[in-house]
Amino acid sequence: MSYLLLSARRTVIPAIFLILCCVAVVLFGEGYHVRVAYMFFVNLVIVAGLQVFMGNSNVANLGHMSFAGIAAYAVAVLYTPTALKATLIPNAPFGLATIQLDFVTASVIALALTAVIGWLSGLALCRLSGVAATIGTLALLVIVHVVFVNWIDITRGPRAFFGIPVALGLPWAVGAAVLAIFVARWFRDSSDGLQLRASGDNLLAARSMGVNIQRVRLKAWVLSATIVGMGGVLFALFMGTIAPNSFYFTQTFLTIAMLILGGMRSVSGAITGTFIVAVGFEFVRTLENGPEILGVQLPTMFGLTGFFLGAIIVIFLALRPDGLLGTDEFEDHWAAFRQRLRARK
Amino acid sequence: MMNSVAREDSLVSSDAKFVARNISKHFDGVYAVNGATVSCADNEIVGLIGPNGAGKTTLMNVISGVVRADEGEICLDGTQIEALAPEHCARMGIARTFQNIRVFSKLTVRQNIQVAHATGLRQRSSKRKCATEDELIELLELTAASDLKSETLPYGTQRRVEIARALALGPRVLLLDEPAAGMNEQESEALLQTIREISRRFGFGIIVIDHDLRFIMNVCDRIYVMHMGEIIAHGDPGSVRENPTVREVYLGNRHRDGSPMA
Repeated sequence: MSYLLLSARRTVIPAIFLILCCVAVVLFGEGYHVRVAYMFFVNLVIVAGLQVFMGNSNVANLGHMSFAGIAAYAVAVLYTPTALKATLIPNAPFGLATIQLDFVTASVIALALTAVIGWLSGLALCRLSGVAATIGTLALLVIVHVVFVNWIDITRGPRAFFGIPVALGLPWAVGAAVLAIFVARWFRDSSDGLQLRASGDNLLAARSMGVNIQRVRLKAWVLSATIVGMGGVLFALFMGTIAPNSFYFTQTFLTIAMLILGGMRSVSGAITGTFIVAVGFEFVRTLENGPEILGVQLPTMFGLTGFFLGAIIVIFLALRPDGLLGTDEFEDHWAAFRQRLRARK
Repeated sequence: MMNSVAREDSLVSSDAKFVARNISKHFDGVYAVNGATVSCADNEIVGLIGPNGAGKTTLMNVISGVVRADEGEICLDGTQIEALAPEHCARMGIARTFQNIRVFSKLTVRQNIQVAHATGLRQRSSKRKCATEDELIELLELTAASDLKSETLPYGTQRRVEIARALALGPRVLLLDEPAAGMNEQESEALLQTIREISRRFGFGIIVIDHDLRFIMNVCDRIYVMHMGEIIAHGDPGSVRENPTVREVYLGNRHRDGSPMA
């Protein structure tokens, strides 16, 4: 119980920062800025979720976006009005075309479904280690994508699923991001989180200390899937339109670049990385469109954002594989900084 | 046949809580361990010595479940444990350290201990007591380092972290794989005192592997000598010291003149 409070206390500073960001955007931003800010919070939720498994277990995960997709499609199918579903997905199985839930119930069911699918996939994936585990997660991403594209009765296939009523705004996104950060911190600080981090550090030593690798990995995997699913729900209930490609390679690499840049071993790293990449990404996107800077007309450079993400991953893996914050959280860095100051005096 | 049985029984002390009997393990047809038997009673410190490549670490890996034996049985408190995975061996009460240090380098010293302590507390029973984190930190003289990341610590300290971590399991038997390797004279002297203190305080059996003869002779009640995967001699430090076969294989021809060993 006491470390639950401790995790809550450690979430306070990032929470204040995020809320200030939100207030600033609401007060001074235009529609476009709100959209960018909202996507930042969605990505933050997804990256925090990704950190729970990948950061603690040190097993690279490329399949997390599939859970965002599952939750997003689930909430879309449950929440979209029946009148619209009659034309969108008239042949939906299990009578799904004829039911409509409020968005809270729909979100809870979507997250529960994501957790169950996460648990089932985790039973297989958490037995694997190293390269095999990573390829397994990649296979999961492809499998889920193929289902989205081909289960036309419920997803409309490659055509977008549109007409999801917009139910959420920025405050919801901030709340979800703070919750995701808190849960990620709480798991990282918990006994299971510590054992999982130990296994990521030295697998054999962790086993020789009685750590049940599969159990702690599975727990993190399901938790990670659920948090990432929350990101998917946020996305669907704001954008109103989702398609299989919303949850595929582009998003996978964007979120992984965010986590690697900040430092995947800490939740603070996840927050930092998401923030920096989001800002950089907006900047590069402006460049991509060929803006006029100081009277010089730049050419349009399609694909610059993709190049930017690839470059971030390569540069950071080569020069700073632990990311900007390394393995430590904000308060660890702060303590180390104060110690250095004291030592200088 | 009679002879081999008699010989094997002499290797097992009558009050042994832990027995590894007739262990064999080969890799691609080469025997790393060939019918080795070791045992350990409570309150006993047992040494396992032998030249490099004698099979000591392989035997240790078999006992701790890291490597599955081809033949043989392992008993702890009368329970067969030879087929168990490392995490189950740990939960049964076999704690170990590693020859090539395997601390959790990104975790602090205290967190290293907590990882094992979580297992130890779950397995706690009337027979198995579990020391607290602070007791272990104090016992292994890690107070100053307790909140430092273990990768930043010197070699000798990391070895002590490994011992503290192993003790946090609340073990029934403790395996120390070359605990004095890389330590200077003073450090290994201090370690020797610590091992005696651990034995006195917790009362479980300890098996120490080392090829530093002086260290082993000083700390152990009983010694097994291993060569080419077999136990070639066994007894108290005095008798092992005098054993001509041991001198032959362990020290080569240099000491045939009878000069005192080590």
